[in-house]
Amino acid sequence: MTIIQTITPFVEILIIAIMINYLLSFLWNTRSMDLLLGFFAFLLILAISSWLNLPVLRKILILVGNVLAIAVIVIFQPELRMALSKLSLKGRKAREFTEFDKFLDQLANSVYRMSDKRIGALIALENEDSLEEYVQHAVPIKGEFSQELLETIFSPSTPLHDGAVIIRNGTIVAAAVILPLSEDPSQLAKSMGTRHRAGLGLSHMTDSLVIVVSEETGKVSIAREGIMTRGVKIDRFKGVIRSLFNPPTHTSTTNKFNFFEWLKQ
Amino acid sequence: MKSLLIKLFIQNWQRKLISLILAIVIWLMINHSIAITKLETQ
Repeated sequence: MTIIQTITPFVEILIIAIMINYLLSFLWNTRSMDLLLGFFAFLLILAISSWLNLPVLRKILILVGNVLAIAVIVIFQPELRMALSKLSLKGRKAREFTEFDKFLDQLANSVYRMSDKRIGALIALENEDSLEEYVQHAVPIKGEFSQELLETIFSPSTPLHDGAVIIRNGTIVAAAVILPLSEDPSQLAKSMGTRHRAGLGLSHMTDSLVIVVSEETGKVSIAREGIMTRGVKIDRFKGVIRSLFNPPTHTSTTNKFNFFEWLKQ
Repeated sequence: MKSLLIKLFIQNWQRKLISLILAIVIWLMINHSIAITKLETQ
């Protein structure tokens, strides 16, 4: 019984520490942190006033604290909302999945809008093989992917429209990229120009996926592993990209410590 | 095992230290007030 009584305070402190650590993880390195440290300082003064038996100071702090409790809810409203949304049962995997879906939807909409308008485009989605050597000789963008940005780049009146765009993990890395031309005539129809040859050339040399929008016909083609698929419809377009690029979430989980695996050893 | 220990104690140690100090302060405060309440009711 005495052992339990001795351990209880440590267990309680540990549980409280875990709870505070979890709450702090939402606010750490945000602009709210200074405010939170002020709140903790207030709490510390309150504790000291209790120990030193300063009743008036303690009463004042408690009265201010009551108002502060409401103020904290108002001030931290965005962080509290974020914290509650992070408690969602869907988990991180589901969030990553929706993020990728958002990117894919935007890319597909952008590509097919350019296809409707007969705007030529050449987009390389980087996979495991690095495209850095091509990026170095192009115009660096390093901008978060958006429909508007992609369509602006390929707008015929802009200086960047001639060449390819390289996308890496949802970021437009470079524009006006010069890609190597393919020498394989079997994959190229007569109607295909330099853009298609460049797309096929890159897919021969790397594992990246290249999207080509024809300026003449408006057809969308996908080049992968040296094979060009022409006239791809939007559903298939999304399916191909999803099958190739959606699994990044699995790679991050392999290195994690697994408690049950450790127990089995 | 090593990765678990690193994750538990080294990653974000400043945050964990603040959490521990705060937990001790809160525990002492609450314990103190419980003790007072117990004394008053006796």
